[in-house]
Amino acid sequence: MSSSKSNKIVKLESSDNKTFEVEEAVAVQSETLKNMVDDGCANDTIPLPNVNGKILEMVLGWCKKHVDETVTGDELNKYEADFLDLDQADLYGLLMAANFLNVKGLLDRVLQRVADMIKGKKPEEIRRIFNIKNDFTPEEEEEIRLENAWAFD
Amino acid sequence: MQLSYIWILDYKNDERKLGSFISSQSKYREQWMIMKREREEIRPEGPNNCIPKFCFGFSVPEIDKIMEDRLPTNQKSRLKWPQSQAKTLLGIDNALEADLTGRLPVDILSSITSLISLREAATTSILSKRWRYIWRTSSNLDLDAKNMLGHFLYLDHFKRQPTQWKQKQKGRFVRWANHILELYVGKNVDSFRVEYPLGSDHGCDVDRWIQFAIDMQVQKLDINLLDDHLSDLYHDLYKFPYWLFAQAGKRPKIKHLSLNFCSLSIPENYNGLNSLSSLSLKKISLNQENVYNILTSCPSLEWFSISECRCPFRLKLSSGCRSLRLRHLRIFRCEPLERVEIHDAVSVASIEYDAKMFGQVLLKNSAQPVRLCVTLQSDRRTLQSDRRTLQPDPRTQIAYVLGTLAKDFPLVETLLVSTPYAQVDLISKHLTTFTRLKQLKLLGVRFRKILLDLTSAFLEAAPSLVELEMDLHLPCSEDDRIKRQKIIEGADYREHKKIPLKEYCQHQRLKKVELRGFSACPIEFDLAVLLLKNAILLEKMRIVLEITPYLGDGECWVMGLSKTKIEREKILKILGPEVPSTVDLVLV
Repeated sequence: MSSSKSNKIVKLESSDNKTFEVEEAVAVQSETLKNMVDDGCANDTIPLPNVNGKILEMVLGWCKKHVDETVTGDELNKYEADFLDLDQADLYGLLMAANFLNVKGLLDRVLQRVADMIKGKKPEEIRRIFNIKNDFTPEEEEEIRLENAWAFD
Repeated sequence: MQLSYIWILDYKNDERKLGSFISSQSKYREQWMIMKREREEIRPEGPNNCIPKFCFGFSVPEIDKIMEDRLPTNQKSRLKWPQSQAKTLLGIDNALEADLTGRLPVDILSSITSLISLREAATTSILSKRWRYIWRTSSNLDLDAKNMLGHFLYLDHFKRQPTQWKQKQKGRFVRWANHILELYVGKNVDSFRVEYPLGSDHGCDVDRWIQFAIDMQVQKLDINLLDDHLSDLYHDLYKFPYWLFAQAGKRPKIKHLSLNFCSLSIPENYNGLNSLSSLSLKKISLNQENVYNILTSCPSLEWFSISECRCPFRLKLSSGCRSLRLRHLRIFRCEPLERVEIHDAVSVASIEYDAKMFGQVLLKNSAQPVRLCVTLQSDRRTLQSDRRTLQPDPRTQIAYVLGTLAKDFPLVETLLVSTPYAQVDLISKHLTTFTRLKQLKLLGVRFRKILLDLTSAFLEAAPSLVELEMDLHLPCSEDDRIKRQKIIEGADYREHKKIPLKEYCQHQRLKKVELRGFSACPIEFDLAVLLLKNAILLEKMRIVLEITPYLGDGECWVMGLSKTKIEREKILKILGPEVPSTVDLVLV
C-alpha cells in the first residue's frame, strides 16, 4: 500500500468561497467525500455549494477531533456535548450539512438534539420553536385531532 | 427468629401469606415494614421501561459494540448518564426567519420523529400540512401501553383485576395496534417493539404484526408479552412464529431478537434466523433440544441472555461440531438449572451467572472470559422445583467468590458481584488472588456489619485492581438515622468513630473509586475514609447519591435519589478533612 495516501490533502470550498484543506483521513469521515475520494474525483478543490464556511469549519472540526488518537473517551464526550450548544439557525445548518456530507456520528447527535427540543412539548410550543406556520383550517385541525384522538388525550 | 427466615418464602408467590403472618407477629412487624419499603424502592423487576436505564458497558469493545447496536435509535440516549433536560433553545424571532424546518428534507423530519415517542410523534400530525403524515414513517415502532394511553401499565394492578376487564383492555390494545399499523406509510422499520400482556388468544394478531415487521425489514424485534397471571399454573402462551422468517427468496435481516413470556421452539439448523447476532429470552421454557436448535440455527449469535427461564437441571451450550461465536452469555434465575457446559465458545469474553451455579459453569474447549458477573442470592427455597432444596446461602457464596472463583476463571479482568437481597454476617478469611483483576464492581451492597471487612478482603484478593465501584443499598435503621443527623449537623465525623485503619489492608494500585447510592449512613463515611486512607495511589473518588441497581446485560436503573434529603455541601464538609492531597473528591 502506498504510504503517500495517508498524507493526501483534500481541498474543499464552501458556498461563500472559503477554502479548507484537510487530511484525507479527516475528510473521509464524511461518506459523501469518501465516495468522491474513492472515485478519484478529489484531486481538485471540491465545491460544496450548499454548505457555508462557518458550518463547514464546524463539521471539519468535528471530523478532526474524531480522528485524533490522543483524545480520550471522556474528552470526546465533553467535546460532543459542548459542540451542540448552538443557536437554532446554526443547528439546522449543521443538520443539513451533516446530512449532505453524511457524517454519521454527527448527524445522529444533531438529530437527537433537535428531537430533545420537541420532546414533551405541546404542538403549539413546537410550532413556536420551529416557527412552523399552521396552514390548517380550524375544521381540518379538528378532523386531525379526531383522527388521532388516542394521542391527543 | 432470624431476619433470614423471612427470606425463605418466595417473594412473588407468598408475599401476601407472608405479610399476614408477619403482621400478626408484632415483634417482626417493624422489620417487615422496613424491608417491604426497601423492596418497593429497589425492585429489579419493576414496571418495564419506566425508570431511565443506563447502559454502562462491558469494558470489552466487541461486546460494547453489540450493546450499542442492539439499542433502537430512540433509546441511544441510554448510553449516557441521564442528565437534566437539555437547555431549551428560545424560539427564534418570528419576524426574521421563516419556518426553518421547511428547508429540511422530509427524510430528516422523519428521522427526527423516529427519535420521539410514538404518541408524541402522532401529535406532530397537527403542526402543519407538511408534518401531517411524517409520524407515520417513523423507523421505531413501540406498541405499548405508554404510547396508547399516555401512562404505564402498572402490571401489579393489572394482574389483580377481573378477567373480563383484562380481556377488554387487551382487545382495546390489539385494535389500537392494528390501527397504527394500517396507518403506517414508511418503507423501513428499524426497531419494532410490542409490550403488553397478551397470550395465544391474540396470537393471530401478534403474528400479523410480526409479519408486518418482517416486511419492513426490521432489525430489532422485541416481543415483550407481560405476565399478567397471579399464579404459576399452566398458561396458554403465545407461540413465537419463527416460520415467518424464512421467506422464499429473501435473506433474513433481523439482527436482534428479544422475547418475553411466550414459547419458542425452532427446528434444528433453521435458516430463517441465521442473521441473529443477539438473542434475549425471558420467562421462556427451554430444554436441551430447544437450546441446541437455537444455537445451530444462529451461527452468528454473539450475545445470548436467558433469564427466569424454565430449564432442565443441566444444560449444554453447543452447536455440534461448529464453534460458537458467543461473546456474551447471561444466565439469570433459571430454574431448576444447576449446571451449564459451554462447548467450543472460542470468543467468549463475558459471562453472567447466578451464584447457585458456582463451580458448575464449565468451559469446554472455550476461551476464558475476561469479564464475569456473579449474582448472589438470598437464602430462599425455590417453590418451582420438585426438590425443595435450600439454596446455598450467601455466606457460602461470598466465600466462594473470595476463595475459589479466581481459580475457575483466572483471566478475569472485570468482575461484578451483584447481591440484591443477600444478608451476610461473616466472611471467611480464605482468599485466592485475582491476578488480572483490574475493575471490580460490588453492586447492590446491603451488608452493613461486614462492609469494611468485605471491602478490605476484596482489596486484598485483587492486588492489581485499578478501579473499584460500589453501589450501596444500605438500609438505615432508626438508630443510624439519628447518628447520621448528628454527624451531618455537627459536621463532626472524627468524634463518631475511629476506624482501626491498620487492621485493614492497604492497596498499592487502586486509582479510582466510585461510591453510588451514598445515603450518608455512618458506615458509608467509614467506608469512604477507609478507601481514602488505605488506597495509597488513589487519584479520584466519586460519590454519587443516586441508587443504580444492576439489571444485567450491562444495564442499570438510574433510580434517582434515595428518599432522605442529604446536602452535598455537608457531606463534603465531613469528608473534606479526611481527603489526602493527592486525591480528587467529586460529589455528584
